[in-house]
Amino acid sequence: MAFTDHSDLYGAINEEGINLVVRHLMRLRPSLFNYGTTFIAQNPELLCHKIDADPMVYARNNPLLTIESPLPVLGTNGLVGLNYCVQLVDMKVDFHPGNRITLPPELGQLKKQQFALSAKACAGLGCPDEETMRMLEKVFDRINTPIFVDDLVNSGSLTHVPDRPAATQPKPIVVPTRKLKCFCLEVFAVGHIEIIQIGNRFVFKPKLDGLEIVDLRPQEMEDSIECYVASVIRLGLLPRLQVAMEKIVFDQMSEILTVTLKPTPGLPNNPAIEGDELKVFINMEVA
Amino acid sequence: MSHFTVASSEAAVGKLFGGIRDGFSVDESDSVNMGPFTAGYEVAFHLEGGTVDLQNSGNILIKELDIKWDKLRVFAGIDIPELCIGGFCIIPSPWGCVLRAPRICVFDDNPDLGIDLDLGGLLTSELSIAAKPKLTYFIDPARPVGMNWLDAEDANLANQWRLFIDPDWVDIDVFDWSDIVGDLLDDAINTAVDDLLWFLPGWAKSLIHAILGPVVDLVRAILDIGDDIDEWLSNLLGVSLGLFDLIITLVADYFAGKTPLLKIEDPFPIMPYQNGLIPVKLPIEKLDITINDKEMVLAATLGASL
Repeated sequence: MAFTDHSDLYGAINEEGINLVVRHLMRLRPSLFNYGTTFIAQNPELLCHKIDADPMVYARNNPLLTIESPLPVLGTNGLVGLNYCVQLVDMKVDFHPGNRITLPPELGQLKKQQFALSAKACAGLGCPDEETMRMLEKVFDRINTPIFVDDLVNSGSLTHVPDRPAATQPKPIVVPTRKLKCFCLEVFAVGHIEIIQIGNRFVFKPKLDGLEIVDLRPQEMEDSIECYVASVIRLGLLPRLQVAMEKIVFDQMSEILTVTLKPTPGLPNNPAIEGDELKVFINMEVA
Repeated sequence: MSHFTVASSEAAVGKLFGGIRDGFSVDESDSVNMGPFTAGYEVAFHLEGGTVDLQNSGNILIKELDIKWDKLRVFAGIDIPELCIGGFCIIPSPWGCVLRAPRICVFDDNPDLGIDLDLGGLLTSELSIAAKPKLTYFIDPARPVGMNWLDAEDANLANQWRLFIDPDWVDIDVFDWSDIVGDLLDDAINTAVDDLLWFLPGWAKSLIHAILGPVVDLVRAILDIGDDIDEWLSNLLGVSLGLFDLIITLVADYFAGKTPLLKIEDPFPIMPYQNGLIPVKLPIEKLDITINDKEMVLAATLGASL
Protein backbone atom coordinates (compact mmCIF):
# COMPACT_ATOMS: atom_id res chain seq x y z
CA MET A 1 0.00 0.00 0.00
CA ALA A 2 1.37 3.36 -0.97
CA PHE A 3 1.41 6.41 1.31
CA THR A 4 -0.41 8.40 -1.34
CA ASP A 5 -3.18 5.98 -2.28
CA HIS A 6 -5.80 8.54 -1.27
CA SER A 7 -4.03 11.86 -1.73
CA ASP A 8 -1.51 13.77 -3.81
CA LEU A 9 0.86 14.26 -0.92
CA TYR A 10 1.45 12.59 2.39
CA GLY A 11 3.43 13.85 5.34
CA ALA A 12 4.22 12.12 8.61
CA ILE A 13 6.29 12.73 11.69
CA ASN A 14 6.98 10.07 14.29
CA GLU A 15 7.34 10.41 18.04
CA GLU A 16 11.09 10.69 18.05
CA GLY A 17 10.79 13.42 15.43
CA ILE A 18 8.12 15.42 17.24
CA ASN A 19 10.12 15.24 20.46
CA LEU A 20 13.17 16.59 18.64
CA VAL A 21 10.97 19.37 17.23
CA VAL A 22 9.75 20.18 20.74
CA ARG A 23 13.32 20.19 22.01
CA HIS A 24 14.44 22.62 19.28
CA LEU A 25 11.38 24.76 19.87
CA MET A 26 12.08 24.98 23.60
CA ARG A 27 15.72 25.87 22.95
CA LEU A 28 14.94 28.50 20.31
CA ARG A 29 11.80 30.03 21.84
CA PRO A 30 12.35 29.61 25.57
CA SER A 31 10.01 32.51 26.27
CA LEU A 32 7.11 30.34 25.16
CA PHE A 33 7.75 27.96 28.03
CA ASN A 34 9.17 30.21 30.75
CA TYR A 35 7.39 33.11 32.45
CA GLY A 36 8.49 35.41 35.19
CA THR A 37 9.07 38.93 36.41
CA THR A 38 11.63 41.36 35.10
CA PHE A 39 13.80 40.76 38.16
CA ILE A 40 13.93 37.03 37.44
CA ALA A 41 14.66 37.71 33.78
CA GLN A 42 17.59 39.86 34.88
CA ASN A 43 18.74 37.18 37.32
CA PRO A 44 18.11 33.91 35.47
CA GLU A 45 20.22 32.01 37.98
CA LEU A 46 17.22 32.30 40.29
CA LEU A 47 15.00 30.24 37.99
CA CYS A 48 13.72 26.97 39.34
CA HIS A 49 15.05 25.15 36.32
CA LYS A 50 18.05 26.24 34.27
CA ILE A 51 16.98 27.10 30.74
CA ASP A 52 18.81 25.22 28.02
CA ALA A 53 18.65 27.84 25.27
CA ASP A 54 20.36 27.84 21.91
CA PRO A 55 23.45 30.11 21.82
CA MET A 56 21.70 32.26 19.20
CA VAL A 57 19.03 33.20 21.74
CA TYR A 58 21.75 34.89 23.80
CA ALA A 59 23.58 36.25 20.76
CA ARG A 60 20.44 38.03 19.57
CA ASN A 61 19.37 39.13 23.06
CA ASN A 62 16.16 37.18 22.80
CA PRO A 63 14.29 36.85 26.07
CA LEU A 64 14.53 33.66 28.07
CA LEU A 65 11.26 34.51 29.77
CA THR A 66 8.02 36.13 28.86
CA ILE A 67 7.87 39.01 31.28
CA GLU A 68 4.84 39.09 33.55
CA SER A 69 3.81 41.56 36.25
CA PRO A 70 4.88 40.78 39.82
CA LEU A 71 2.41 38.87 41.93
CA PRO A 72 0.58 41.54 43.96
CA VAL A 73 0.42 41.16 47.72
CA LEU A 74 -3.29 41.54 48.40
CA GLY A 75 -4.27 44.40 50.65
CA THR A 76 -1.30 46.56 49.78
CA ASN A 77 -3.14 48.51 47.09
CA GLY A 78 -0.61 47.20 44.59
CA LEU A 79 2.28 48.68 46.48
CA VAL A 80 4.05 45.38 47.06
CA GLY A 81 4.64 42.68 44.50
CA LEU A 82 6.54 39.43 44.67
CA ASN A 83 8.80 37.97 42.05
CA TYR A 84 7.96 34.59 40.64
CA CYS A 85 8.55 32.30 37.72
CA VAL A 86 6.57 29.55 36.07
CA GLN A 87 8.32 27.08 33.79
CA LEU A 88 7.26 24.19 31.63
CA VAL A 89 10.15 21.73 31.38
CA ASP A 90 10.90 18.20 30.23
CA MET A 91 8.09 18.21 27.73
CA LYS A 92 7.44 14.94 25.90
CA VAL A 93 4.90 13.86 23.31
CA ASP A 94 3.50 10.40 22.69
CA PHE A 95 1.30 9.54 19.71
CA HIS A 96 -1.31 6.79 19.90
CA PRO A 97 -0.81 4.00 20.81
CA GLY A 98 0.67 5.29 24.06
CA ASN A 99 4.01 3.77 24.87
CA ARG A 100 6.27 6.62 25.97
CA ILE A 101 4.15 8.30 28.61
CA THR A 102 2.24 6.53 31.37
CA LEU A 103 -0.88 8.57 31.84
CA PRO A 104 -2.43 8.96 35.31
CA PRO A 105 -5.65 7.02 35.86
CA GLU A 106 -7.70 10.21 35.77
CA LEU A 107 -6.96 10.58 32.05
CA GLY A 108 -7.50 6.91 31.28
CA GLN A 109 -5.87 5.23 28.32
CA LEU A 110 -4.77 7.24 25.35
CA LYS A 111 -7.62 7.07 22.84
CA LYS A 112 -7.32 6.57 19.12
CA GLN A 113 -6.30 9.71 17.22
CA GLN A 114 -4.97 11.34 20.39
CA PHE A 115 -1.55 12.40 21.53
CA ALA A 116 -0.33 12.52 25.11
CA LEU A 117 1.90 15.20 26.54
CA SER A 118 3.83 15.21 29.76
CA ALA A 119 5.77 18.04 31.33
CA LYS A 120 6.85 19.42 34.63
CA ALA A 121 5.28 22.73 35.61
CA CYS A 122 7.74 24.34 37.97
CA ALA A 123 6.89 27.50 39.86
CA GLY A 124 8.91 29.58 42.23
CA LEU A 125 7.98 32.48 44.47
CA GLY A 126 10.35 35.13 45.72
CA CYS A 127 9.08 35.08 49.27
CA PRO A 128 10.53 37.95 51.35
CA ASP A 129 12.83 36.85 54.13
CA GLU A 130 12.05 37.82 57.73
CA GLU A 131 14.32 40.86 57.73
CA THR A 132 12.76 42.24 54.55
CA MET A 133 9.30 41.54 55.89
CA ARG A 134 10.00 43.55 59.07
CA MET A 135 11.29 46.45 57.04
CA LEU A 136 8.17 46.38 54.86
CA GLU A 137 5.98 46.27 57.95
CA LYS A 138 7.61 49.44 59.21
CA VAL A 139 6.99 51.17 55.92
CA PHE A 140 3.36 50.17 55.94
CA ASP A 141 2.96 51.23 59.57
CA ARG A 142 3.92 54.72 58.46
CA ILE A 143 1.77 54.70 55.34
CA ASN A 144 -1.43 53.37 56.81
CA THR A 145 -3.62 55.17 59.30
CA PRO A 146 -4.35 53.03 62.32
CA ILE A 147 -7.97 51.94 62.61
CA PHE A 148 -9.39 52.83 66.01
CA VAL A 149 -12.52 51.48 67.66
CA ASP A 150 -14.03 54.99 67.59
CA ASP A 151 -13.71 55.12 63.87
CA LEU A 152 -15.54 51.86 63.52
CA VAL A 153 -18.36 53.02 65.78
CA ASN A 154 -18.75 56.44 64.14
CA SER A 155 -18.40 55.49 60.48
CA GLY A 156 -19.89 52.04 60.58
CA SER A 157 -17.34 51.02 58.00
CA LEU A 158 -14.10 49.10 58.02
CA THR A 159 -12.76 51.11 55.12
CA HIS A 160 -9.62 52.91 56.10
CA VAL A 161 -8.19 55.92 54.36
CA PRO A 162 -4.49 56.42 53.86
CA ASP A 163 -3.16 59.40 55.79
CA ARG A 164 -1.34 60.80 52.73
CA PRO A 165 -2.75 62.04 49.44
CA ALA A 166 -2.35 59.57 46.57
CA ALA A 167 0.22 61.77 44.84
CA THR A 168 2.68 61.35 47.69
CA GLN A 169 2.33 57.62 48.03
CA PRO A 170 5.55 55.65 47.62
CA LYS A 171 6.23 53.79 44.41
CA PRO A 172 5.25 50.15 44.29
CA ILE A 173 7.94 47.81 45.55
CA VAL A 174 8.82 44.53 43.94
CA VAL A 175 10.50 42.66 46.74
CA PRO A 176 13.91 41.49 45.60
CA THR A 177 14.90 37.98 46.40
CA ARG A 178 18.00 35.82 46.54
CA LYS A 179 16.22 32.54 46.02
CA LEU A 180 12.86 31.41 44.79
CA LYS A 181 10.90 28.83 46.71
CA CYS A 182 10.36 26.33 43.95
CA PHE A 183 8.15 23.33 43.42
CA CYS A 184 7.35 21.22 40.40
CA LEU A 185 4.15 19.48 39.45
CA GLU A 186 3.83 16.61 37.03
CA VAL A 187 1.43 17.67 34.30
CA PHE A 188 -0.15 15.27 31.85
CA ALA A 189 -2.36 16.23 28.98
CA VAL A 190 -4.10 14.53 26.09
CA GLY A 191 -5.18 16.19 22.88
CA HIS A 192 -5.69 15.85 19.18
CA ILE A 193 -4.70 17.83 16.10
CA GLU A 194 -7.08 19.63 13.81
CA ILE A 195 -6.56 21.34 10.51
CA ILE A 196 -8.24 24.71 10.44
CA GLN A 197 -8.56 27.21 7.63
CA ILE A 198 -7.36 30.76 8.19
CA GLY A 199 -8.10 32.81 5.10
CA ASN A 200 -6.96 30.67 2.21
CA ARG A 201 -4.36 28.83 4.26
CA PHE A 202 -4.64 25.67 6.27
CA VAL A 203 -2.83 25.27 9.56
CA PHE A 204 -2.31 22.44 12.01
CA LYS A 205 -3.74 23.30 15.39
CA PRO A 206 -3.21 21.17 18.49
CA LYS A 207 -6.30 20.97 20.73
CA LEU A 208 -6.31 20.03 24.41
CA ASP A 209 -8.81 17.32 25.43
CA GLY A 210 -7.83 16.82 29.06
CA LEU A 211 -5.23 17.75 31.66
CA GLU A 212 -4.22 16.24 34.97
CA ILE A 213 -1.84 17.33 37.67
CA VAL A 214 -0.84 14.40 39.78
CA ASP A 215 -1.42 14.05 43.50
CA LEU A 216 -2.52 17.50 44.55
CA ARG A 217 -4.89 17.81 47.50
CA PRO A 218 -7.49 18.98 48.20
CA GLN A 219 -9.24 18.04 45.00
CA GLU A 220 -10.72 21.53 44.56
CA MET A 221 -7.26 23.06 44.65
CA GLU A 222 -6.05 20.55 42.08
CA ASP A 223 -9.04 21.33 39.88
CA SER A 224 -8.35 25.05 40.11
CA ILE A 225 -4.67 24.70 39.31
CA GLU A 226 -5.46 22.34 36.46
CA CYS A 227 -7.95 24.88 35.14
CA TYR A 228 -5.28 27.56 35.27
CA VAL A 229 -2.58 25.44 33.58
CA ALA A 230 -5.05 24.33 30.92
CA SER A 231 -5.90 27.98 30.28
CA VAL A 232 -2.21 28.81 29.91
CA ILE A 233 -1.72 25.95 27.46
CA ARG A 234 -4.90 26.56 25.46
CA LEU A 235 -4.77 30.33 25.34
CA GLY A 236 -1.10 31.15 25.78
CA LEU A 237 0.90 28.33 24.27
CA LEU A 238 -0.98 26.35 21.61
CA PRO A 239 -2.20 29.31 19.54
CA ARG A 240 1.45 30.24 19.04
CA LEU A 241 2.37 26.76 17.85
CA GLN A 242 0.25 26.61 14.73
CA VAL A 243 2.24 25.57 11.73
CA ALA A 244 1.06 26.35 8.24
CA MET A 245 0.61 23.28 6.10
CA GLU A 246 2.77 24.55 3.29
CA LYS A 247 5.63 24.90 5.74
CA ILE A 248 5.70 21.15 6.00
CA VAL A 249 5.33 20.36 2.33
CA PHE A 250 7.02 22.07 -0.59
CA ASP A 251 7.34 25.51 0.91
CA GLN A 252 10.57 25.87 -0.98
CA MET A 253 8.97 25.41 -4.38
CA SER A 254 7.38 28.81 -4.28
CA GLU A 255 10.23 30.21 -6.36
CA ILE A 256 9.21 28.04 -9.29
CA LEU A 257 5.56 27.30 -8.80
CA THR A 258 2.49 28.43 -7.00
CA VAL A 259 1.31 25.38 -5.13
CA THR A 260 -2.04 25.42 -3.37
CA LEU A 261 -2.48 22.77 -0.71
CA LYS A 262 -5.71 21.53 0.80
CA PRO A 263 -6.42 18.68 3.18
CA THR A 264 -7.68 15.64 1.31
CA PRO A 265 -11.43 15.40 1.94
CA GLY A 266 -13.38 12.23 2.65
CA LEU A 267 -10.83 10.48 4.85
CA PRO A 268 -11.95 9.23 8.28
CA ASN A 269 -9.07 10.99 10.03
CA ASN A 270 -7.02 13.78 8.55
CA PRO A 271 -4.71 14.49 10.21
CA ALA A 272 -4.44 11.04 11.70
CA ILE A 273 -2.58 10.08 14.85
CA GLU A 274 -1.88 6.39 14.61
CA GLY A 275 1.00 3.96 14.68
CA ASP A 276 3.09 6.39 16.77
CA GLU A 277 2.93 8.94 13.98
CA LEU A 278 1.10 12.09 13.06
CA LYS A 279 0.03 11.79 9.45
CA VAL A 280 -1.51 14.28 7.09
CA PHE A 281 -3.00 13.76 3.65
CA ILE A 282 -2.96 16.66 1.24
CA ASN A 283 -4.20 17.43 -2.23
CA MET A 284 -2.54 20.10 -4.29
CA GLU A 285 -3.10 22.34 -7.24
CA VAL A 286 -0.22 23.74 -9.23
CA ALA A 287 -0.36 27.03 -11.08
CA MET B 1 15.31 5.71 11.35
CA SER B 2 13.97 8.84 9.74
CA HIS B 3 11.72 11.30 11.55
CA PHE B 4 9.79 12.93 8.73
CA THR B 5 8.31 11.23 5.69
CA VAL B 6 6.91 13.15 2.76
CA ALA B 7 5.50 11.26 -0.20
CA SER B 8 4.32 12.60 -3.52
CA SER B 9 2.10 10.48 -5.73
CA GLU B 10 2.87 9.94 -9.40
CA ALA B 11 -0.07 12.21 -10.20
CA ALA B 12 1.34 14.93 -7.95
CA VAL B 13 4.77 14.61 -9.54
CA GLY B 14 2.95 15.00 -12.86
CA LYS B 15 1.29 18.18 -11.63
CA LEU B 16 4.62 19.58 -10.45
CA PHE B 17 6.20 18.61 -13.76
CA GLY B 18 3.38 20.38 -15.60
CA GLY B 19 3.94 23.52 -13.59
CA ILE B 20 7.67 23.50 -14.23
CA ARG B 21 7.16 22.69 -17.92
CA ASP B 22 4.69 25.55 -18.37
CA GLY B 23 7.20 27.96 -16.89
CA PHE B 24 9.86 27.01 -19.41
CA SER B 25 10.62 28.93 -22.60
CA VAL B 26 13.71 29.62 -24.68
CA ASP B 27 14.67 32.46 -26.97
CA GLU B 28 18.13 32.03 -28.49
CA SER B 29 20.13 32.86 -31.60
CA ASP B 30 23.52 31.91 -33.00
CA SER B 31 25.47 31.92 -36.27
CA VAL B 32 28.49 30.20 -37.74
CA ASN B 33 30.86 30.86 -40.64
CA MET B 34 31.60 27.81 -42.74
CA GLY B 35 33.72 28.65 -45.79
CA PRO B 36 31.54 29.56 -48.73
CA PHE B 37 28.53 30.29 -46.66
CA THR B 38 27.48 31.52 -43.28
CA ALA B 39 24.47 30.22 -41.43
CA GLY B 40 22.58 31.03 -38.31
CA TYR B 41 19.33 30.63 -36.49
CA GLU B 42 16.92 32.41 -34.26
CA VAL B 43 14.81 30.10 -32.17
CA ALA B 44 12.16 30.46 -29.55
CA PHE B 45 10.21 27.54 -28.17
CA HIS B 46 8.13 26.38 -25.27
CA LEU B 47 7.13 22.98 -24.04
CA GLU B 48 3.78 21.24 -24.14
CA GLY B 49 2.37 17.83 -23.35
CA GLY B 50 4.48 15.01 -22.08
CA THR B 51 3.82 12.53 -19.33
CA VAL B 52 5.70 11.54 -16.20
CA ASP B 53 6.09 7.91 -15.30
CA LEU B 54 7.63 6.82 -12.00
CA GLN B 55 9.29 3.44 -12.29
CA ASN B 56 10.24 0.74 -9.83
CA SER B 57 13.80 1.02 -11.09
CA GLY B 58 13.93 4.38 -9.36
CA ASN B 59 13.74 6.26 -12.64
CA ILE B 60 11.51 9.14 -13.57
CA LEU B 61 10.57 8.84 -17.22
CA ILE B 62 9.37 11.96 -19.02
CA LYS B 63 7.85 10.90 -22.31
CA GLU B 64 6.84 12.70 -25.50
CA LEU B 65 7.42 16.20 -24.32
CA ASP B 66 6.58 18.41 -27.30
CA ILE B 67 8.86 21.27 -28.26
CA LYS B 68 6.63 23.91 -29.77
CA TRP B 69 8.58 26.27 -31.99
CA ASP B 70 7.35 29.79 -31.59
CA LYS B 71 10.19 30.94 -33.81
CA LEU B 72 12.61 28.92 -35.89
CA ARG B 73 14.30 31.06 -38.48
CA VAL B 74 17.27 29.71 -40.37
CA PHE B 75 19.29 32.01 -42.51
CA ALA B 76 22.26 31.34 -44.76
CA GLY B 77 24.54 33.69 -46.67
CA ILE B 78 26.05 32.05 -49.76
CA ASP B 79 29.16 33.03 -51.67
CA ILE B 80 28.53 31.91 -55.26
CA PRO B 81 31.66 31.74 -57.48
CA GLU B 82 31.99 34.86 -59.63
CA LEU B 83 30.51 34.50 -63.10
CA CYS B 84 31.27 36.85 -65.99
CA ILE B 85 29.54 36.95 -69.34
CA GLY B 86 30.30 39.02 -72.49
CA GLY B 87 33.60 40.69 -73.22
CA PHE B 88 34.02 38.62 -76.34
CA CYS B 89 35.06 40.26 -79.61
CA ILE B 90 32.28 41.07 -82.06
CA ILE B 91 34.39 42.79 -84.80
CA PRO B 92 37.94 41.53 -84.91
CA SER B 93 40.61 43.28 -87.03
CA PRO B 94 44.26 42.67 -87.76
CA TRP B 95 45.02 45.40 -85.25
CA GLY B 96 42.91 43.94 -82.58
CA CYS B 97 39.30 43.86 -81.62
CA VAL B 98 37.32 46.81 -82.93
CA LEU B 99 34.10 46.03 -81.04
CA ARG B 100 33.59 43.91 -77.94
CA ALA B 101 30.42 42.71 -76.31
CA PRO B 102 29.92 44.28 -72.90
CA ARG B 103 31.33 42.23 -70.04
CA ILE B 104 29.08 41.69 -67.03
CA CYS B 105 30.21 39.94 -63.88
CA VAL B 106 27.87 38.69 -61.19
CA PHE B 107 28.31 37.03 -57.82
CA ASP B 108 31.38 39.09 -57.02
CA ASP B 109 30.27 39.89 -53.45
CA ASN B 110 30.72 37.73 -50.42
CA PRO B 111 28.15 36.56 -49.57
CA ASP B 112 26.25 37.04 -52.75
CA LEU B 113 22.85 36.03 -51.63
CA GLY B 114 21.00 35.37 -48.47
CA ILE B 115 18.40 32.71 -47.85
CA ASP B 116 15.90 33.22 -45.09
CA LEU B 117 13.76 30.30 -44.03
CA ASP B 118 11.09 30.83 -41.45
CA LEU B 119 10.19 27.36 -40.29
CA GLY B 120 8.13 28.37 -37.26
CA GLY B 121 4.95 26.32 -37.14
CA LEU B 122 6.19 23.76 -39.65
CA LEU B 123 8.09 21.60 -37.23
CA THR B 124 7.27 19.42 -34.30
CA SER B 125 9.91 18.03 -32.04
CA GLU B 126 9.69 15.57 -29.21
CA LEU B 127 11.86 15.03 -26.22
CA SER B 128 12.04 12.09 -23.82
CA ILE B 129 14.13 12.01 -20.68
CA ALA B 130 14.90 9.20 -18.26
CA ALA B 131 16.27 10.53 -15.02
CA LYS B 132 17.00 9.51 -11.48
CA PRO B 133 16.40 11.73 -8.48
CA LYS B 134 19.58 13.09 -7.05
CA LEU B 135 19.96 14.85 -3.73
CA THR B 136 22.83 17.21 -3.20
CA TYR B 137 23.81 19.40 -0.30
CA PHE B 138 24.40 22.98 -1.36
CA ILE B 139 26.57 25.39 0.56
CA ASP B 140 26.51 28.82 -0.97
CA PRO B 141 30.06 29.71 -2.02
CA ALA B 142 29.42 33.22 -0.77
CA ARG B 143 28.87 31.93 2.77
CA PRO B 144 31.96 32.65 4.84
CA VAL B 145 33.50 29.72 6.68
CA GLY B 146 32.33 29.69 10.26
CA MET B 147 29.20 31.77 9.65
CA ASN B 148 26.51 30.57 12.03
CA TRP B 149 23.13 29.36 10.84
CA LEU B 150 21.28 32.50 11.90
CA ASP B 151 23.66 34.93 10.24
CA ALA B 152 23.42 32.73 7.15
CA GLU B 153 19.64 32.93 7.33
CA ASP B 154 19.79 36.73 7.57
CA ALA B 155 22.18 36.94 4.63
CA ASN B 156 20.04 34.56 2.58
CA LEU B 157 22.95 32.14 2.53
CA ALA B 158 21.38 29.19 4.31
CA ASN B 159 22.52 25.76 3.20
CA GLN B 160 20.10 23.73 1.14
CA TRP B 161 19.28 20.19 0.31
CA ARG B 162 18.54 20.18 -3.40
CA LEU B 163 16.61 17.60 -5.34
CA PHE B 164 17.53 17.31 -8.98
CA ILE B 165 16.46 14.86 -11.59
CA ASP B 166 19.67 13.60 -13.09
CA PRO B 167 19.18 12.50 -16.72
CA ASP B 168 20.29 8.98 -17.60
CA TRP B 169 19.50 9.66 -21.21
CA VAL B 170 17.86 12.34 -23.30
CA ASP B 171 16.30 11.48 -26.63
CA ILE B 172 15.38 14.28 -28.98
CA ASP B 173 13.40 13.65 -32.13
CA VAL B 174 13.95 17.08 -33.55
CA PHE B 175 12.34 17.13 -36.93
CA ASP B 176 9.09 15.96 -38.18
CA TRP B 177 9.52 17.78 -41.46
CA SER B 178 6.79 18.92 -43.62
CA ASP B 179 7.64 18.31 -47.31
CA ILE B 180 7.03 21.91 -48.09
CA VAL B 181 10.22 22.87 -46.30
CA GLY B 182 12.16 21.70 -49.39
CA ASP B 183 9.95 23.79 -51.66
CA LEU B 184 10.35 26.73 -49.33
CA LEU B 185 14.09 26.43 -49.68
CA ASP B 186 13.92 26.26 -53.49
CA ASP B 187 11.66 29.29 -53.67
CA ALA B 188 13.90 31.20 -51.29
CA ILE B 189 16.96 30.47 -53.47
CA ASN B 190 15.26 31.48 -56.73
CA THR B 191 13.91 34.66 -55.22
CA ALA B 192 17.29 35.54 -53.79
CA VAL B 193 19.04 35.03 -57.16
CA ASP B 194 16.44 37.06 -59.03
CA ASP B 195 16.78 39.83 -56.49
CA LEU B 196 20.53 39.69 -56.92
CA LEU B 197 20.29 40.09 -60.71
CA TRP B 198 17.69 42.81 -60.66
CA PHE B 199 19.79 45.26 -62.65
CA LEU B 200 20.21 42.96 -65.64
CA PRO B 201 17.99 43.08 -68.64
CA GLY B 202 15.79 40.08 -69.15
CA TRP B 203 17.93 38.62 -71.91
CA ALA B 204 21.02 38.71 -69.64
CA LYS B 205 19.12 37.02 -66.81
CA SER B 206 18.01 34.34 -69.22
CA LEU B 207 21.56 33.99 -70.46
CA ILE B 208 22.89 33.58 -66.94
CA HIS B 209 20.21 31.08 -66.08
CA ALA B 210 21.08 29.25 -69.30
CA ILE B 211 24.75 29.22 -68.41
CA LEU B 212 24.21 28.26 -64.79
CA GLY B 213 21.40 25.81 -65.38
CA PRO B 214 18.83 25.65 -62.57
CA VAL B 215 20.14 28.08 -60.00
CA VAL B 216 18.63 26.00 -57.27
CA ASP B 217 20.82 23.09 -58.25
CA LEU B 218 23.85 25.34 -58.12
CA VAL B 219 23.07 26.61 -54.67
CA ARG B 220 22.18 23.14 -53.49
CA ALA B 221 25.55 21.99 -54.77
CA ILE B 222 27.34 24.83 -53.01
CA LEU B 223 25.52 24.08 -49.81
CA ASP B 224 26.11 20.38 -50.32
CA ILE B 225 22.44 19.78 -49.76
CA GLY B 226 22.15 16.78 -52.00
CA ASP B 227 18.79 15.08 -52.34
CA ASP B 228 17.92 14.87 -48.70
CA ILE B 229 17.03 18.29 -47.40
CA ASP B 230 16.03 16.77 -44.03
CA GLU B 231 19.52 15.48 -43.55
CA TRP B 232 21.12 18.71 -44.67
CA LEU B 233 19.07 20.98 -42.46
CA SER B 234 19.28 18.58 -39.58
CA ASN B 235 23.05 18.47 -40.01
CA LEU B 236 23.26 22.24 -40.32
CA LEU B 237 21.19 22.94 -37.22
CA GLY B 238 22.30 19.99 -35.18
CA VAL B 239 25.98 19.58 -35.97
CA SER B 240 27.19 22.85 -37.40
CA LEU B 241 25.12 25.17 -35.27
CA GLY B 242 24.70 22.87 -32.28
CA LEU B 243 21.01 23.61 -31.97
CA PHE B 244 20.15 20.09 -30.83
CA ASP B 245 22.77 20.21 -28.15
CA LEU B 246 21.43 23.57 -27.14
CA ILE B 247 17.91 22.21 -26.80
CA ILE B 248 19.04 19.16 -24.87
CA THR B 249 21.24 21.26 -22.65
CA LEU B 250 18.56 23.85 -22.00
CA VAL B 251 15.78 21.38 -21.35
CA ALA B 252 17.85 18.88 -19.42
CA ASP B 253 19.42 21.63 -17.35
CA TYR B 254 16.06 23.16 -16.67
CA PHE B 255 14.58 19.92 -15.47
CA ALA B 256 17.71 18.60 -13.92
CA GLY B 257 21.15 20.05 -13.68
CA LYS B 258 20.53 23.69 -12.95
CA THR B 259 16.99 23.88 -11.69
CA PRO B 260 16.36 21.78 -8.64
CA LEU B 261 12.92 20.25 -8.44
CA LEU B 262 12.95 20.99 -4.75
CA LYS B 263 15.07 23.12 -2.46
CA ILE B 264 14.90 22.40 1.25
CA GLU B 265 16.59 24.90 3.48
CA ASP B 266 18.84 23.46 6.16
CA PRO B 267 18.10 24.14 8.92
CA PHE B 268 14.48 23.99 7.83
CA PRO B 269 12.29 26.88 9.00
CA ILE B 270 9.04 26.07 10.80
CA MET B 271 8.47 29.43 12.49
CA PRO B 272 9.70 32.75 11.11
CA TYR B 273 11.08 35.74 12.95
CA GLN B 274 8.34 37.04 15.25
CA ASN B 275 8.65 40.36 17.04
CA GLY B 276 12.41 40.07 17.19
CA LEU B 277 12.36 36.43 18.27
CA ILE B 278 14.69 34.32 16.18
CA PRO B 279 13.15 31.81 13.78
CA VAL B 280 12.62 28.22 14.79
CA LYS B 281 14.51 25.95 12.44
CA LEU B 282 15.19 22.25 12.37
CA PRO B 283 18.53 20.78 11.32
CA ILE B 284 18.13 18.12 8.63
CA GLU B 285 20.91 15.67 9.24
CA LYS B 286 20.04 13.23 6.52
CA LEU B 287 17.72 13.17 3.55
CA ASP B 288 16.91 10.16 1.39
CA ILE B 289 14.72 9.76 -1.63
CA THR B 290 13.22 6.64 -3.12
CA ILE B 291 10.96 6.12 -6.10
CA ASN B 292 8.60 3.29 -6.93
CA ASP B 293 5.94 3.06 -9.58
CA LYS B 294 3.39 4.78 -7.35
CA GLU B 295 5.17 7.58 -5.56
CA MET B 296 8.30 9.46 -4.69
CA VAL B 297 9.20 9.32 -0.99
CA LEU B 298 11.44 11.73 0.84
CA ALA B 299 12.64 10.74 4.33
CA ALA B 300 14.35 13.24 6.63
CA THR B 301 16.29 12.64 9.80
CA LEU B 302 16.56 15.58 12.15
CA GLY B 303 19.75 16.49 13.94
CA ALA B 304 19.96 16.98 17.67
CA SER B 305 21.59 20.39 17.46
CA LEU B 306 21.75 23.29 15.07
